[in-house]
Amino acid sequence: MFRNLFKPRVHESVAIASVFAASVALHVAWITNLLVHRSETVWNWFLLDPDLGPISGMYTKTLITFFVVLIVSWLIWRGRDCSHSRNRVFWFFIASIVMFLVMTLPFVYEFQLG
Amino acid sequence: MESLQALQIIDTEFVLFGGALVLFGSAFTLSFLISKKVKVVRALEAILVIILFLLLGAVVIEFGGAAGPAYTFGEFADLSELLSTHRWLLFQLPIILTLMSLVVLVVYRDQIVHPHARTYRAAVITSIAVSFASMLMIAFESLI
Repeated sequence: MFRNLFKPRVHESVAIASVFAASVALHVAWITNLLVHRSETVWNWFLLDPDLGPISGMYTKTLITFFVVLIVSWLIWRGRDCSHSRNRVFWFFIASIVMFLVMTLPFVYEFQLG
Repeated sequence: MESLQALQIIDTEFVLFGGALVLFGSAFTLSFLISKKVKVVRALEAILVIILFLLLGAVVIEFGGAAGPAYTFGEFADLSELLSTHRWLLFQLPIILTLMSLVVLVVYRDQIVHPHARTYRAAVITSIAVSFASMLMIAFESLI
């Protein structure tokens, strides 16, 4: 009976926040990987489990980043018009995938002069 | 007897990875039908949930096994570098992108076919395609 009175609502803020969170998480992942290979101190920061090495900390940090950014950006976009941000977030997402794929190539992150 | 021997050879992580790869293939095909058939969205959601569990299962088994005697008896000092290879870095990509696609599909459901959802449709299709490609890359790198 009430179906015709209400329009199904889409929580676009959650969708846009998830795309943004995935983009940020990918950027954090490649930057972390680069730092882990460059600095002994950072390597030790990510050593949650000595048997596993820094990969344990890197996976944990990527997942935590995704959920934290998802919640924070959802709170920021909640109740606002997201239509202006759609394209910008989408291209940021594409850029983050490209950056991740390029920067995680072994000969790129292990490159050093001299 | 032979089947028992075959079962001993089969690696659990390999089975989970293979399952995820096959399901990504079907998700990749279905993703092109999102804008045409609404029913596809539900199927895609179900497939992505299964994929996510398979991927997380593979990670847990691999990392859980690393702390076990199979690794600690050997050269576990080299394990960090072994796990930090390109394959394990790439493995983060399908996990994050599948999570993202699931959230978008759960939020939009049948309304993903609407014209204003074009950007989100593109994001879901891109993420499934990139995840499938990265899984194939991991599989090919494993063969080398």
